[in-house]
Order: sequence, then structure tokens, then C-alpha cells
Amino acid sequence: MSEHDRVIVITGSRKGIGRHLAETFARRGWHTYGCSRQPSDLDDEHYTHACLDVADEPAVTQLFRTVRARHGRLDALVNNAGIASMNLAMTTPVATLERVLRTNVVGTFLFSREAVKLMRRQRHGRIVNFSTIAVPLKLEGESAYVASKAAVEAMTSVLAKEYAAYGVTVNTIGPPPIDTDLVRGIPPQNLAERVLDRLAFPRFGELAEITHAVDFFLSERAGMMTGQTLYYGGV
Amino acid sequence: MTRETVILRLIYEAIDVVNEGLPPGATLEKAPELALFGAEGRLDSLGLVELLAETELRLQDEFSVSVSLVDDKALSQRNSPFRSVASLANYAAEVLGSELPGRGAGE
Ligand SMILES: NC(=O)c1ccc[n+]([C@@H]2O[C@H](COP(=O)([O-])OP(=O)(O)OC[C@H]3O[C@@H](n4cnc5c(N)ncnc54)[C@H](OP(=O)(O)O)[C@@H]3O)[C@@H](O)[C@H]2O)c1
Repeated sequence: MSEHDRVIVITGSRKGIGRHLAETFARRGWHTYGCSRQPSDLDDEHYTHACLDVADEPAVTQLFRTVRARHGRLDALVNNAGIASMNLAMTTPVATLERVLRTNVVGTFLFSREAVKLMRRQRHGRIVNFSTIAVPLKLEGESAYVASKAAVEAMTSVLAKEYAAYGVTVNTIGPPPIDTDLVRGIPPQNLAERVLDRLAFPRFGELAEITHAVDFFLSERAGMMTGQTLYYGGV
Repeated sequence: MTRETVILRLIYEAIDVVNEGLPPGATLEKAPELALFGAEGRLDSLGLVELLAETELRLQDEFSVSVSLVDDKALSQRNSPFRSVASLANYAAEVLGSELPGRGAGE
């Protein structure tokens, strides 16, 4: 099948990593569907943006209805939308924990559930989720974020088993720090001491390095690669 | 066409999809009395999930609402709504009724 017939959904595509992925796939000619709470200014004939919260069930099912009506298929889903919260547990409000869980866990669950209903029709599909190296580093000050991403990793392994029957693989990428708004608020000294110095390669990751891993999981020959979490930086 | 007739048609379309994955002798008939799940049922749990997922998609496309057929209410009913095509159709009408009070099919 040519790139021009392929359909991908990428969550959290207004900025950061998701934006880069959306630009890349749209440029390649994939029918690219992105979403975020605020509107996107990405202008590409292959790109369609939906303004929604990833945990809003009716809005998410509506997005998949659109994809179904227009293409009748879905090749790949990238569950990139995510939020973090830097706060010691003792001073983290429950509302913050709930917000992080809703976006990172409920959003990933909901999009995966709707995606597989479409992918199973063609007995083929790829789902890529997002975790972080903060999980294996057990990063102090990020209990809500780390718990939510650990849940994503656990969910990945279970979904991988459930969805294998439909030819759908489910994997997770665990990036190192990438220069996006998500980490821009963290003082550089803090980031260096707490994260970068604990990596085998103590540097930021590049957007292209994330795309490379997504491409790998989406590739035809990665059809038996499922239920895995791929970390960067030698953690 | 009444909402009930539309629902039955959508379930039959979902059965067509499930049948594609079944060996020729084991395909499901499209009849209200067909036993789906339970002691006499023709589907295993994976088959039932496929049928329900396909039915949900069709209900969503036809009625433009988000519906979920498998929830705690369905699972806790003494008489499973998934025992036959007819009971599934009734249950789907009930779920839709709470989502779309007073609306007819295709409105
Ligand atoms: N940057 C890093 O260092 C790093 C490291 C490890 C893992 N990650 C993971 O990589 C993913 C992307 O992060 P990023 O660095 O690109 O973050 P980012 O620059 O803050 O972008 C996050 C994106 O997600 C969207 N978003 C957030 N909450 C949403 C919601 N509830 N519903 C819909 N969209 C939502 C945002 O758009 P709106 O605000 O318009 O909704 C935005 O487009 C996340 O899952 C993150 O955990 C990032």
C-alpha cells in the first residue's frame, strides 16, 4: 500500500513531539489526524485537527467516526498527548493527580480502544504509547507523572496480548528529556543533576530520534514486536 | 423504519463481519432467536466481544451517539442481554433510548 492510502491518528499534536510527528507523517502523505485541547496552526493538505480532550469519550468517538466515514481504515495510532506535574507527593493536590491520570492513562486507554475497533477490520495495526525514562529512574518529585506512565506501560503489555488476535501491535516509547514546553519550566541545573547525569548518554534527545523509534514500531517487519517499552539513554 | 428494525439490521451487519472469521460450517444465522452467549450460545467470549464492538460502531455511525453496550449494568443483569440476538437488540434499544430520548432512527 502506498503512503498516500495510510491513515494515522496522533494525539497531542499541537506542539512538542506530537507536532513534529504530525508534520512528518503529513509530509510523507499519510492521512494524518491530530488533536489537542487548543487549535493547531499546522497547515498541510493531509492534516486534520480535532480540538478535544483525550479523555472526553464522546469527542473521541466522534473523531473515530470521522476517520471511519472518510477512510474506513486506520493504520497507526500514536498516543503522544501527555502532561507532567513536578511536585513532591506531600504537596500534590488530588486534583493534579486526577488530571495527570485522566490525560495520560484514560486518554491512552480510550484512543486505543476506539482504534483497535477499526484496525481489527483490516487485521493489521500499530499502536505506539508514550512513557518516559522517569519511570525506570523512579524520579522523585514526579510521583503522579511516573505513576501514570507506569500505568501506560502496564496497559501496553496487556493490550498487546488482547490485540494480537487482530494483528495489532502495542508498544511504548520512553524518551529522555526533549526540548519541549514539558521540560522548559525545569531549572537546567535541576534537570542535569536529577536526570541527565543518570543517563549513559547524558544529553537531551532529538525529535528525529523519537520519530525513528515510532517508524520502527510502525514498520512492516516489526509485526512480532509487541508489548515492549523502549527506553532511551541507557537507563 | 422503526428504531428496532434499524438496530436489528445493524446487528445482522455485525454478524456478517463476525462470520468472515468463522469456518463455513460454524457461521451464525441472522435470526432474532439465535443464541449468542451462555449455555446454548454460539459465540465464545472473544467472538462476543467482536460482535459487540462491531454493533457498537454501527450504532454510533447510525445514530451519531457514543454508546457502550458492555458496562456494569449489562454484566450484572440476571438475564444476560447477550444471550440472543433479540435480547441484544432490546438491550441496544434501551441503551440508545437513554442516550436519545424521543428521537427516531436516523434523525
Ligand atoms: N519532552 C520530554 O522531555 C518528554 C520526556 C519523556 C516523555 N515525554 C512524553 O512525550 C509526550 C509529548 O510530550 P511533549 O514534550 O511534546 O509535551 P508538550 O510540548 O507539553 O505537548 C503536549 C501536547 O499534548 C497536548 N495535550 C495535553 N493534554 C491534553 C489533553 N488532555 N487532551 C488533548 N491534548 C492534550 C498539548 O496540546 P493542548 O495543550 O492544546 O491540549 C500538546 O500538543 C508526553 O506523553 C510526554 O509525557 C516527553
